Amino acid sequence: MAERLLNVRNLDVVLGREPGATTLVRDLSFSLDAGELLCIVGESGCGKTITARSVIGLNRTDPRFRLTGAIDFDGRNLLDLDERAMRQIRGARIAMIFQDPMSSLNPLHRISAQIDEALAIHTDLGKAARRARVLELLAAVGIPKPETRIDAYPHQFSGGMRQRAMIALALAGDPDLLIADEPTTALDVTTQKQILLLLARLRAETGMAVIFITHDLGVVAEIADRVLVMYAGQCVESGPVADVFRNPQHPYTAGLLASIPAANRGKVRRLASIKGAPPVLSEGRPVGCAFRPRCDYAFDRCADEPQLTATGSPDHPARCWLSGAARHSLAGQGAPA
Amino acid sequence: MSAPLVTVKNLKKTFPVRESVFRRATRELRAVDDVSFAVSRGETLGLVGESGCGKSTLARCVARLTEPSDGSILFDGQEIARLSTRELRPMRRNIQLVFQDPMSSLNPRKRVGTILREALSIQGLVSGRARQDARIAELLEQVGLSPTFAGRLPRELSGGQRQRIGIARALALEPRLIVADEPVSALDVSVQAQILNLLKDLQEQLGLTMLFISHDLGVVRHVSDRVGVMYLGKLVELAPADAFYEAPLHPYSRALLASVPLPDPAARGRAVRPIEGDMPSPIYPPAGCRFHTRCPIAQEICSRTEPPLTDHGNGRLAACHFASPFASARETERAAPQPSQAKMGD
Ligand SMILES: Nc1ncnc2c1ncn2[C@@H]1O[C@H](COP(=O)(O)OP(=O)(O)OP(=O)(O)O)[C@@H](O)[C@H]1O
Ligand SMILES: Nc1ncnc2c1ncn2[C@@H]1O[C@H](COP(=O)(O)OP(=O)(O)OP(=O)(O)O)[C@@H](O)[C@H]1O
Ligand SMILES: [Mg+2]
Ligand SMILES: [Mg+2]
Repeated sequence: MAERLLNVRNLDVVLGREPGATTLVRDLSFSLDAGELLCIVGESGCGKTITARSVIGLNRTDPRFRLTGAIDFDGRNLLDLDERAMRQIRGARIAMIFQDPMSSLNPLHRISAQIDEALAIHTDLGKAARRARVLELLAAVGIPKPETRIDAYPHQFSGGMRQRAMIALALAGDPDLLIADEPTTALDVTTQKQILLLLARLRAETGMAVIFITHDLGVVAEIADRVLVMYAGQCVESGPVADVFRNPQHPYTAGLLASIPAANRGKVRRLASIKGAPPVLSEGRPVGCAFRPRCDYAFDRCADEPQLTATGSPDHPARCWLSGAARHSLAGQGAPA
Repeated sequence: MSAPLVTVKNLKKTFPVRESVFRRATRELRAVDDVSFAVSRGETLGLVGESGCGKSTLARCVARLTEPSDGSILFDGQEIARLSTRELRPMRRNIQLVFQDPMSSLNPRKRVGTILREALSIQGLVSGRARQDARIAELLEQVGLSPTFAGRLPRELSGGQRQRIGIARALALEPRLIVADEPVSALDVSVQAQILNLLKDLQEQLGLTMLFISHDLGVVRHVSDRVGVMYLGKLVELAPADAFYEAPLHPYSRALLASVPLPDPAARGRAVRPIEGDMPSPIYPPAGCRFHTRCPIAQEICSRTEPPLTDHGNGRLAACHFASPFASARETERAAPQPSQAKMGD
């Protein structure tokens, strides 16, 4: 098999020093092939953004964080690179877009100047060629009549247009991997749809791989090749999107899927829901399986932390003492309390 | 059937806005523009629409947190659109709001018990400390919290627990109408489901009437008996929920529904074209039908004549010259993956 583009192995991100250190990401492993789209999904505070920022090396210089494990990208462990080497990868090979476009677009500079700056860093195009390329990029992300918009400031754009400009900025270095952190969460569904279609088209045209972070399982179903479900800083399940939706292997994934009031589902008297709320990691992690306090299937064994293990199919592992099949048969006889 | 609890007629709310910081002259922004509907007793009417279409403004008018610019609001037969603050006081308790962000509506320095006690005392509804304590415990239990929560501060609560307190406070006054403005939008899915179930249970137990606002069409389907769709200050469709979700009459409703990502990988690539372009400025709404600039089936008449909200039978109303439960070919033709105007990469 071809070498994977990205291979994250046993990543831990710890905040602060012992005692009182908090493990925000714990034993996280996942990989990505060139051109693949992986969705990372999970509820607020489960560690999605921390994971993304770790991959692109944004919290490596922050002395409060300690990163261990390995992030292999194109054959090199990014955690071993010095900041200079990392800077050559960031933007050129790996680019990131954020939920709030204003956090990566500078409000004081014209859109054109910001994309031009990225081009000047990541390409050897001359001034005129860069200007032409900025126009191309803006057209590619669907900004109508880019020649009339190129010198606008970010605040003169609508939310959806700003998101498009940010995607154009991320594409300037022609990255192999684009990390998109909730790029559509703040947008209306109609604008979200436009952006999702845009990303799908750009991916087909450029062959770049995408890590798309979201808390919306509808978005996952719409765009993902594979999905990774996070809970309390861990991967609790991952696999091909159709498998995970059809046959969830972790009770958290199953609970999430059941609790969505989907627009295509008729009204039911009660929605399924998961009791309680996700743990606040800074207040301590539950002992054993982190999902245990909310889980309807928890039993003695769950006092020990389960590992991510293969279930029915090898590319669909889950972190649960009960395999999907075993859980269903237990549920039939009345699950252990 | 008995008379509706709320009847809104030709409601308008305009805001004076300056076109730019350099100009003195103001223009009118018509946030709610000639909207009419009624809500029956015990019914939940869901309101959907994109950001800025006027949902919150309409909610604030109905709850009389703001005065409408024009039109009428009958609450249980009484005209409340023009009442002064003083005249409103005795009827305030009948209409209570639940907000999106309970944190910003709960005083961070007051304990939950104090917050609820104040709600009870304001209208002199329950007097005497012991009776108030009993009622506070009862309210907490109603929203699924143990009475010990009375001693907590808002910051010691999770998002879902805060929203439960927001609901308990609204219930304290035994209102007849709850206006819920995006009550679950800030919550995680697993917690959102708990709050939606709670609202439904309470509605059944207490016979509440609800105006429920959300931009999430899935959430609205789940709680509503009827659904209203707003676009640029106008109500463009109003229909029983099931009929609406099965086959909406307005092309905007159809496009909106088609944009909602469904949690089902097999439903991928539905043959619907996304709405193109951005929402026009509400300061300069398009002439004729406000949706015509983005409508895939617009004809010449649509840019000239505004379609009124018309009855299409079975309680279904739509404001479109070409209202139909079937999508036209032009709406469904798969947006051919637009050849990008520029070639990417090298
Ligand atoms: N710079 C930081 N300093 C301290 N704690 C942090 C920092 N960034 C994140 N955390 C904590 O790490 C945990 C994971 O945060 P993260 O932002 O990765 O969550 P998320 O999954 O992206 O959530 P959301 O969906 O709300 O964006 C949270 O408990 C958060 O409070
Ligand atoms: N106090 C105000 N002054 C001026 N304009 C206002 C005011 N309140 C609302 N508007 C404008 O009225 C229109 C409707 O706003 P409203 O908040 O009712 O929309 P909404 O449908 O609730 O949107 P959202 O989904 O973002 O909450 C918007 O264009 C808004 O900018
Ligand atoms: Mg995040
Ligand atoms: Mg609003």
